[in-house]
Amino acid sequence: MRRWAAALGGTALVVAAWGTALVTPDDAEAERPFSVPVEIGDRGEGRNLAVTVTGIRAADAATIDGWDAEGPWLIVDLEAAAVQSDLRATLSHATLSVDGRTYRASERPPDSMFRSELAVGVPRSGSIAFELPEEALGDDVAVLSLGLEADPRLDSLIEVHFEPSTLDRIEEAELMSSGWAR
Amino acid sequence: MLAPVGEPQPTEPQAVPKRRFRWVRAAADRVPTKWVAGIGTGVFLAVTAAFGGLETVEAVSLPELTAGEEHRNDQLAVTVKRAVLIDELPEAGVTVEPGERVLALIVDAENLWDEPLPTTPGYSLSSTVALADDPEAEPEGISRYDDTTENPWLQPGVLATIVLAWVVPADRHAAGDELRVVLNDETLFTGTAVISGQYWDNPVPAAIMALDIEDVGAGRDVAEPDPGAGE
Amino acid sequence: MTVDALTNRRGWWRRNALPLVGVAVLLPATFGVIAWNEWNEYFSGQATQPVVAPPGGSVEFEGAVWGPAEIEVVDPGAEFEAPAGSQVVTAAVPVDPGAHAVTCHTPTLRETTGAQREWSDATFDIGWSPAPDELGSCALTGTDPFTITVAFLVPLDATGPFAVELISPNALPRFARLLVEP
Repeated sequence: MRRWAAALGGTALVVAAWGTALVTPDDAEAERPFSVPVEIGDRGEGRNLAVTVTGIRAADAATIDGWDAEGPWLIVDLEAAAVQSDLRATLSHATLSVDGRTYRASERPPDSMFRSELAVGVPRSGSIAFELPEEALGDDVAVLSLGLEADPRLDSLIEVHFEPSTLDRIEEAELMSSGWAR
Repeated sequence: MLAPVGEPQPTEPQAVPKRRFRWVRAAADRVPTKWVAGIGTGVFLAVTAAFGGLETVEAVSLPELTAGEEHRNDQLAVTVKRAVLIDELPEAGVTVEPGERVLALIVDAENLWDEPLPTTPGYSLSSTVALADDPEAEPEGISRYDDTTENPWLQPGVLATIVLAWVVPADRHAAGDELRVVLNDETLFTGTAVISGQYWDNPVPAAIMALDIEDVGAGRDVAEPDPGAGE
Repeated sequence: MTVDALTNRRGWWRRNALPLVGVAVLLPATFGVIAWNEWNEYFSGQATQPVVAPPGGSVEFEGAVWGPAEIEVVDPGAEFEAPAGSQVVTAAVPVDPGAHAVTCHTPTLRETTGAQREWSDATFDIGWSPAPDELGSCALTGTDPFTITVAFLVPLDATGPFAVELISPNALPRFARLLVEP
């Protein structure tokens, strides 16, 4: 009796250890950002960031303040504010994921909301531009992620899912000047 | 814990091997230790000589590319188009002192990875394109050819023309000189412990190319999209 | 399992009662001490210990007398129009340095209830020009009394109560929290 009890106990422990190892999240999973999914036009609020994406445009070329560049470009118009504190509150994470590839908001436009400072409770508006290869604009699924830290781990990310292929493509799009939203 | 008193001590078995291996000691004593250093040195020299002595090792022959030919690896597609000598190039983020000039490479680069790549020193293009004469010298200035954005990010699948600039002594290069450029391949690493995510590192020469240096004097054409188009 | 074995097992626990109690005490204590040490080190560099002045009152901090802090809704002037839903608030803090000159950063404004939102100096952003004798921080001051005046852009839904917070770099983790009379 003692022998089968020990065998059973041992087996149970091995199974439990295996199960624990199986359900333990890996590093990437344990440090995953907290996603706040939101629709275009709706306000999404995270830890210290509130964003409303007011529009998404696709264009062959982008321009602002005398700068212009051939793309194609995807231009995101948005309003953003800090929620709790304006210390270190800059819109420093802006990525677009399409078909397994990640694009980062372009640092090329001289005026853009990307990496701009946010105020607490008083939204600012402007645009963020993504320089993309042609095929990305033809895709059906894209995820826009916006956050405060360039390293998004364990922080909130406001995320907008949309279909790039349904966007009307215009020849040239002008970025909104960054400023107070109202 | 100490062994309890009264247990048999294992004295007998130890004594036997001592006697059995006495001859080893005796033999070792007869080895002339003074010779050991000499024999070692001799073996080292012989092995070194067998591998070609202290002569500089001939570089593994790399594929030779010509100006305008693309080099492709898992990270980047790189095409070095021109090598230009210019008096100064503040647009590329470099400042020159008297007696110095700027050596600039104009390069088409496409990010073939699925994440954006920075061009700041130590990353992507900076580690991929090197001067054969001074492979450790990373470019001091990197900017876009079209709108002079400094240290631009390379977006996946988007082609960009980039100017890589080195400050060089004014008399080192002259127009028409051949400039040898090494193109490196890097390996993708996945961070462990305190490093998170994936990164490219460990550049290894993968191709070499020779370009003729153009001297554009004080010229402004490097910063213009289409040099000589209006002439 | 025999009765003999059972008594033996109970005997082991009893024999090792003292070390077991030691482990039970020391193990949590070890983690406690390490955690306390690490957090203490972190907090000692952060503004975590407020030296509070009562509403409308002053407080002695770093050898100087600070307060009473007053805030005022102001018209920023023709240069700047406060965005809809926001107003410009200035805070004035009289400082009597006493025997030695004092150092401090530009003060911040904090809501003392709810989310404890915090605003930084917006004097530059809103183009507000303080009077020549109004200072933004303790920089370059002597031992004569002076007043720090800073402007904040605050949403209308921030109704207080407020406090003006001043950090003196050498005094961390202590800082002055001057409550404002509602």
